[in-house]
Amino acid sequence: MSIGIKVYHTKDFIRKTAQGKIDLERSLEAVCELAVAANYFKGHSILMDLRDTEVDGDRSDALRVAAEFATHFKSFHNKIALIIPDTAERMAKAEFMRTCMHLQGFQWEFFMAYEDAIDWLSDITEL
Amino acid sequence: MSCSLTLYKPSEFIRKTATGKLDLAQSLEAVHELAEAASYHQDSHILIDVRETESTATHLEQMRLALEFGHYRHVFHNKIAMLIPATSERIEKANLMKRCMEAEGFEMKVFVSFEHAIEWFSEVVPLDPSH
Repeated sequence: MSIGIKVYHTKDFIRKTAQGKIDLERSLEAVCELAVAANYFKGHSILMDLRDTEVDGDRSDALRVAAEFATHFKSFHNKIALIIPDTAERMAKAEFMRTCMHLQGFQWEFFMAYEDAIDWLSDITEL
Repeated sequence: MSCSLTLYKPSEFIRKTATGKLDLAQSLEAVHELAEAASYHQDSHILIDVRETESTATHLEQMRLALEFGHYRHVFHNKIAMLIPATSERIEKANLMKRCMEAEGFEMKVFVSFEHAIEWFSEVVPLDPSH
């Protein structure tokens, strides 16, 4: 048996959970809603849970969503973690979105597992 | 698309992860280590992650383990979550452990999902009326 002890200090975070088909219009609205929440709860990270969603959009839509985030850049001070379904298609889309978001200066990462997202959002100290 | 917005305020927690075969001697040692860590981080919850383990512990050994935790009751002030593999055998064993721990005065819950354990450690506030 091997054993490790770690202390997790996880920042407060805003979790946005979506279900069903994601379309561009609703995604843009969701970014605005998130910006309002992030602006109000300054210092909080963001967790976007999209595991129960389907995406129709193409790269052009992804660019539009990234551009919408950029218009609210000042509201997002902390990390943004995205949880997506574990499929090659969604990973490819998330990788493109990550590139767009990194180019605009966001701390953005995507994960397939909730646990990995929490690890990324936490300060972890090994004892 | 339906959406919900929720605020999570997770408390600090100490995570102890074990892998491989669980035997009584090492489990008792692990309790000591956990007690030491808990005494330094008194506001922290405890997450014991034994998903990657095999357990051969008997009922008697589980009771012995709960008693060992009981010796350190004064340093464990918060919640203890145990994360186990989702098998009926392990769930049954973990539920016995939970009852023993509760008898010793601990607040313990058993989970098969990390996500649910974190929710239990968090203050969760819905931010929209549709939630």
